[in-house]
Amino acid sequence: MSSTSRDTAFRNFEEALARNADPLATGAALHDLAKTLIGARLFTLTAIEMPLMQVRRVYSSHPVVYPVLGTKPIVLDDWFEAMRTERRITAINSAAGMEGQFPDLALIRSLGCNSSISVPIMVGNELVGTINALDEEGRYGPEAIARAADLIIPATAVFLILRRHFGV
Amino acid sequence: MTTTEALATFDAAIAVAQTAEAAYKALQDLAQASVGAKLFTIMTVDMAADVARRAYTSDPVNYPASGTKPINYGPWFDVVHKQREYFVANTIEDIAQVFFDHELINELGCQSVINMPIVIGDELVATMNILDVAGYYTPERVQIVRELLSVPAKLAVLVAQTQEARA
Repeated sequence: MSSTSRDTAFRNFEEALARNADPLATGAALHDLAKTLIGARLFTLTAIEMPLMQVRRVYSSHPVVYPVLGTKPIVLDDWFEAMRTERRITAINSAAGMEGQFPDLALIRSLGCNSSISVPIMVGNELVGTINALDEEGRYGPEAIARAADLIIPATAVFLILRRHFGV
Repeated sequence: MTTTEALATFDAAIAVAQTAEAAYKALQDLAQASVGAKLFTIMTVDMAADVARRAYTSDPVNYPASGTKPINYGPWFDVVHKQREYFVANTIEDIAQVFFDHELINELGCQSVINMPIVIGDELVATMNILDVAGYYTPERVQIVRELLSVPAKLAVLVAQTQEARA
């Protein structure tokens, strides 16, 4: 990734937020930015609703198999706790590492994905959502994790826009 | 502080910001660490009600936040609101042509300004206003504002709106 393509991707994202009146388009703009920064074949944004103890998908690159507004219960495991308290970005970079971590692993693999990264997004000390990106094996090494931090500010804006739109 | 550090400081501050004030202070800190600003303010705009309000100021003693005021129509409004372009002036004379409080601005040691329109979803919601000494806002510094501050400014306004709606 050259610095020029990175700058262009950020400019395009800013333009999309400024000019596009459709809130759903902001999720697509963030997906485009993520493709340039870290790669993101499968990309979803899940809003977290702590009072209801559930997560709700507010953007999906694959709405047929991962529909928008699908809900799942929150599982309060160590991974969730690390995101909630330390804002820790987590990644799995190999097909072997993915084993046993995803109930929908067969579907994920059928979409050509064998690595994953999750970026927690917080506002006012509350976890408001997570970015979830998946791609081919080896995509999310240490450099990609460092670059993923550049998605936090844009994604926080997108989550606030989408949560307001969906009344989450 | 490097740009990366300044952005990381901003996003850490937003992650814990519980008030509009905290969100705007985070943006002020980012602006001062990157481009520089002796005076920093946010004007929020309600076009439907035809009013604007200085929602945040870095200098509450000499240049305080305000209640709502009628929108200042004129050439400045045309640039920032209609064309949604940045307004840049680098002399007090140019500032005097568009701002009624230019004498106070000058007394505070500021003779240059950038007004950045903050546009979200095709709606102008606020302006970020940074002021400094004469000649400060060169094309290079204007470019830093465009590249570095335009997305954080949108985020700061969104956080401020969210926290104000909750309060």
